[in-house]
Amino acid sequence: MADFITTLRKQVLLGDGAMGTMLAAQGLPPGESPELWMLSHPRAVQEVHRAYFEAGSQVIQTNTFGASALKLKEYGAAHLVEEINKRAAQLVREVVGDQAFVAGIIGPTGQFPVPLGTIPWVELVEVFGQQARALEVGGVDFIFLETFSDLGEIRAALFAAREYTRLPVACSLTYTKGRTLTGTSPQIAAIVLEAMGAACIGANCSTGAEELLEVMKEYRRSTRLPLLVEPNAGMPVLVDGKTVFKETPEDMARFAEPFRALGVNLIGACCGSTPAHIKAMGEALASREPAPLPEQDGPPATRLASRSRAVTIGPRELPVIIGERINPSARKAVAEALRQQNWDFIVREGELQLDAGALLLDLNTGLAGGDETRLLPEGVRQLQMSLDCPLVLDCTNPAALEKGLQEFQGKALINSVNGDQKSLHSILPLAKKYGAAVLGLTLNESGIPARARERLQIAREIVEAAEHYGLPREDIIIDCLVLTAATSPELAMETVQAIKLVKVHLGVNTVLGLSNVSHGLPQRSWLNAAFLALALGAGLDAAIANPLDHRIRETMIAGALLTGRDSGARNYLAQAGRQVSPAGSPPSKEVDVDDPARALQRAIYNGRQEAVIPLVQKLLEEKRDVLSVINEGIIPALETIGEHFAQGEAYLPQLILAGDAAKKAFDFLKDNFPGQRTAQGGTVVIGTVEGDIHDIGKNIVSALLENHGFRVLDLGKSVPAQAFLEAARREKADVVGLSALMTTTMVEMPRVIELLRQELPGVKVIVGGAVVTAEYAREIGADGYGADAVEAVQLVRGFCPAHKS
Amino acid sequence: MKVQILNLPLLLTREEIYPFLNLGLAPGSIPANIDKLVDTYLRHVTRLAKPQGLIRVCSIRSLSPERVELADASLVIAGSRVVAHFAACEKVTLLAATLGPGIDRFLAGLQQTSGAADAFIFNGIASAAAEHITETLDALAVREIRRSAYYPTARFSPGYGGWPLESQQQFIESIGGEKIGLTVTSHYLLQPVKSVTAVIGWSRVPLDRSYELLREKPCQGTLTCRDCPLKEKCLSKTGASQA
Repeated sequence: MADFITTLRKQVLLGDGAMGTMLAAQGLPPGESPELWMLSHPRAVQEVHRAYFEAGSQVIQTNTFGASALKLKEYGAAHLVEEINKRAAQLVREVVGDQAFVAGIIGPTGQFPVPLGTIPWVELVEVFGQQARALEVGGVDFIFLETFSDLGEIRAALFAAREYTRLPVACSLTYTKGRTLTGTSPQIAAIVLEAMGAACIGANCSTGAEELLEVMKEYRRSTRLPLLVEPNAGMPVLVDGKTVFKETPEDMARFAEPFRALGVNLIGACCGSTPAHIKAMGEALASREPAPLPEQDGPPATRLASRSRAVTIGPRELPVIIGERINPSARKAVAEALRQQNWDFIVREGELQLDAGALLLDLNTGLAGGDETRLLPEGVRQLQMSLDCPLVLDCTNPAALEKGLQEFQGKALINSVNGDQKSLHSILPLAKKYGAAVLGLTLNESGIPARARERLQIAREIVEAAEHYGLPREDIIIDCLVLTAATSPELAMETVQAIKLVKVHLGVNTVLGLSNVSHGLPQRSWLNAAFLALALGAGLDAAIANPLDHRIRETMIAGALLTGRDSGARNYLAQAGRQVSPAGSPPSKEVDVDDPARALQRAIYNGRQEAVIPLVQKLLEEKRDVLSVINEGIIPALETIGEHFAQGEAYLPQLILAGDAAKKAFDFLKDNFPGQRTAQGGTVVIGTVEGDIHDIGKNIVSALLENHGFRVLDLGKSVPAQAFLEAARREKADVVGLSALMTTTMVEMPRVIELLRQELPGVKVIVGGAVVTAEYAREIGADGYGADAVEAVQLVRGFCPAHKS
Repeated sequence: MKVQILNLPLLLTREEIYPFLNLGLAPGSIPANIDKLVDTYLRHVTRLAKPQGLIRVCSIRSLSPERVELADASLVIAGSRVVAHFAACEKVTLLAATLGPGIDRFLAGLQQTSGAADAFIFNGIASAAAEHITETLDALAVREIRRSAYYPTARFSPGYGGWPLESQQQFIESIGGEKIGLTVTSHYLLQPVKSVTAVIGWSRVPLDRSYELLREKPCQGTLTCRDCPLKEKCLSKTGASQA
């Protein structure tokens, strides 16, 4: 029988369907391990295989989903891994002979590798390796990793299957709303798993066929590998007390042909499906011819990824900044942080660079006297726990690099190899093994050649060696190297020339460690930015640089537009808009509007705090009276936004922002006219009742009351009944407002009310908070209930007759 | 006791956040100034949060209509509306999730230094983040339950459905909450504030988890609207059909 992957490229194959529900029908008791049960009921398991085989399945899966040592341990059967997996493979083979392919199934262990979980990656590799070996011994045609939801875990399983067996490996993840549980998109899965050597990739389980159509389309756009799909028969629903997968064989069959047409090569089904589903799907396929792969459009780009973010480097992409700042030899503060294991500092450095526009971070832990084999993997762990960008591992020590590559749950860029034979043959195999791209420096044992042609020759040797180790050309990025202009200014243009030559003759992407050009010279930023512009003109695709230098950032943005990489100037315009509007914005035009009262109202309504004070000043010139400013400029705006909010035409945050802007106006008036009355009468004591520490809602009510001109004493959160009483008495409060978020704390409200009624019968009490209802307010004898901040203001206004508005 | 500790990913989308900010209830696009605040504080929350979770599976020692007692754990699940769901359960999964103390500290500072809108938006995003990581833990637990041929119950937390909030103390003890820095105040509230504890039962018979399918629910919470303490207010405001 022909090899599985060769067949899959020529012919669309039909997979099988659910195992668990079929075994239950064969008598598997609930709660029992299907794999252990198989040892005593081999015929029952074979009945299921036979049913699928007879329904037309050409790929039959072993009953080994939970047959890893970690899963079997839960049943005290970790010692049976070899026996179960071998036996399971043989059972399928006995049924299908050489008339179908046998898929050796490996499922997730339920444990995530570091950093999400606690199990070390290398330990997971051993667990999966043991199972894969046993499946190979049992005679499966390929290893099928399925239903994984974490990229780190499936990466360990794929690595293990490739290390411990000679079989092709298919990888399948499960998706909800287009992402796996830990945030991986099909594109990212394709980038990482293809680089690690997967032979076929796809999706199974998930919510059903319809959702997986979109997932498979994204896969097809992202890879040229054969694809597989095995959807659930819809989501389980309850019908008359029974779980039912509601998609019938006919429902599922509708999707078979669309999957084939978009380019899927292996089509099967997952939970809830039966041989009848498989049969109907096979009949629905119009042809077994795989859909042709889309035409390749120009040279492929270099693709890197973290667990949840992909970055593409190539001539049709925007040029990329690789943040250079985590480097102890260039920066003393980083060296000190590494020495003290101050990882917060390192992570913060990473954040700053990402915020400033870097898409990748260079991580260099080569500290004099430090242990890089320990620092690099720890650095990778720390950065990928807090940040989601792909990493560039800046390290030439193979032992440290290997540890770092194991830790990084994505596709990294190795920085770097060079033309030296020793470097090539120690680093390139690691790149292949761990699915990383490499950055090649155009130097060798004799140093950096002066002339562009000689640098091209070294680049060619690096590309050839990388291809020899099986790396695709797009996973090699060449750095043509620049020397400092302090000693050899005449050589800068050689670098520019070398970039052009490498692009034309080798067709690989290029990168440049930029800052070296200015080494030893003042105003380094000038030189860095100018040289970046020259290099971009020669076709540079990425620069290792300092993104916090705004000249670098601006040169990148402008250079991308001028070199035709920014289609429609979209990025340029977006970036330009972002950078211009907040800083140095011109004084608001509304100051010049004829009617300053209207202008002030509009500024408050829109929550534009910065515009408020000039408008208040202008209005004061006209009115010369604080109360008129309040009544004509501030209060109407608050009332309008309040109405709009009540009618559902404005959002709560808008209401609060308008309140903050009004507060700015009130504070200004209070500070400048201390003698004049700015409060409008009415004192409110407010707080969250004892035991409740939630105060966001209460703070909003409190702020809004103040903004409407009431005198507000906010007692804070978890306020005892006695404190409410004392404050109300001392401040001669008109109204006491009580807030509670939880059913368990709102029972404190009647206690406060009772105390106030006894001691201060004239005071009105209003209540509110997430769980409080109008009904509850009546029950406990409150005078009023506000469903939201606007209602609270209206209530208070009603209870304070002195209030004029 | 075997407790799994997880560092959880936090990949919060704007759609998950809006319900917590009462955005999405008014028509039209989000005003630019609010959009900018959401942007800023989404980055703050993502940066400050150190999301961690605990998962522990316990066998049920005894079941009565009033209470569920667990083997090797002091936690008792009580409250008539909660316990009814566990009638056919043999085990439970205990979950605890927290965003860590950095969020609380920042919020306290923000309330001192900035306007109410800033605090409101930061707080809402943090709540969405807590919900998000709880959903991740839920999905992990449910996957395990379904794979073991049981059916998951809905997710329940102390303080809801008649289950006294006082149980929070035993909950934290039973799951080893100190491993991720979880404590309980004298009024039985979790510290850090943006934390969640919850239990999911392993049932022998299929149970309603229909909220998993609902698209029109006005929030991201996992209780059905029927069981939600906020239903009266929320539904009257949104006009959403009762789920």
